[in-house]
Amino acid sequence: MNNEKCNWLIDYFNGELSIKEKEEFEEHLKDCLECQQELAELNTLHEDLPFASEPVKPPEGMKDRVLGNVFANNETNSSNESETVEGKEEKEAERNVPFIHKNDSKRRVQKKQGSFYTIAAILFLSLVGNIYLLMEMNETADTPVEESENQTDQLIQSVALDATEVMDATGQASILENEEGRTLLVQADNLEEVSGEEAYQVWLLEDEQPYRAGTFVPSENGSGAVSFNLDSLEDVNWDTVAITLEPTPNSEVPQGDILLAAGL
Amino acid sequence: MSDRDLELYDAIQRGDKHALEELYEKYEKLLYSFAFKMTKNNELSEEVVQEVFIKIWTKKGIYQKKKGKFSSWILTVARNTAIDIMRKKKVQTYTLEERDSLYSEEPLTEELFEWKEDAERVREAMRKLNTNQLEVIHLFYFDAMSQQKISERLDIPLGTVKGRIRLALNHLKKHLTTIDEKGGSRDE
Repeated sequence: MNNEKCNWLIDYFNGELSIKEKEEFEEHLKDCLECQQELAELNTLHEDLPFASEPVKPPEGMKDRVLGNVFANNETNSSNESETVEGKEEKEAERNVPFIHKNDSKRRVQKKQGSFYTIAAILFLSLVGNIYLLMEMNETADTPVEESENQTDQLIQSVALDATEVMDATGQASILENEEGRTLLVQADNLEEVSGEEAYQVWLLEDEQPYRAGTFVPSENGSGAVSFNLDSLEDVNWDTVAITLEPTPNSEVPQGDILLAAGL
Repeated sequence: MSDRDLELYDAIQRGDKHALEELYEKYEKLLYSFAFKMTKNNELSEEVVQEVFIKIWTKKGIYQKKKGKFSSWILTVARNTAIDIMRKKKVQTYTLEERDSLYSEEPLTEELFEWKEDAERVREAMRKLNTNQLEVIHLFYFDAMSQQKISERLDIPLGTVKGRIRLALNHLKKHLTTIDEKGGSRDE
């Protein structure tokens, strides 16, 4: 009865155990009535204690940001998430046990996406700071990579772009590497037709600073692609790819809403 | 009240964005305040709230009636999410100055709207606890500290931490029961 594992209960409840310890404790829990009872008691705290929190006013615009991100998550998750992950998480929630995300990379993408709704606005604000860089960038930004015959491209990374609420498009961004350097390849489908001078613009973002990374106009069936030589952005530590629809093909900062994006 | 939660949750299962919005509006401040109490950080608190609603929106069937009251369930998820995020970001739970302000009962300028009664009830019970009891509950529940850290913070042997927590919680439960019996109007 007075098993050493009984002393793990607090750390179990507070998510402090390692994955291995957690499993061991859950094994112990099956046979230890005392721990079961104590855990059940601790779980009843959620009915009362949170209400003791001092009321804090949520920050300005939080609702729009959060709901925007929640809805943007819709498609990615239902299509990409395997049944097992979902089942597992559900099981964990059921036990009222703190759970640890096993899939760190997925989380990070979600986090990135988290700020997309505000990115367009922020990008706009950072206009002044960036304009010099962007003008310089502009010279090289749209240069497609020359294909030479005997080089082998190696896929470094590939990620599906997540649609935002603005347009129901799909897309993919990949980084290829060969002797001549690294290339970013962006493809998108289901894009709305452009009118007048409009064009789709790919951006690379470093801490929400935009760098142009290729412009394209979709075909009649709504598909488009562009490749971009990443060597020109060697010094930029970008972490996000995004596509916007711009009024002209030479916007130096994004003016349209972000349609597709992903952390990379 | 909780019937409406269930209705909304069912609608969310069918992909009803308005239902999610209504649920969000109802819980925004409660979850945010709770997350803030745990993380003491605006950005992290917003992240917690967002994660909770992403779970609700994307993981179909994550809540079921057998898991108990919806409000308790969503708070459980919020607490676990906050713990998860704090661990990941290695958030230091709190500094000494913060701790001082933690226990000064300031008059509330804002209320948690429909949670007002719940809040008053719990706060009244908490006020009846002594400082030691309050402290151990804060360290354990809101700061989600490990047993080891609690023992260091309170300068007590590791083996006695669990007992201290249980004792404090028993006092809290007792006070809550007294308040419920006295009040009597809080029938579910």
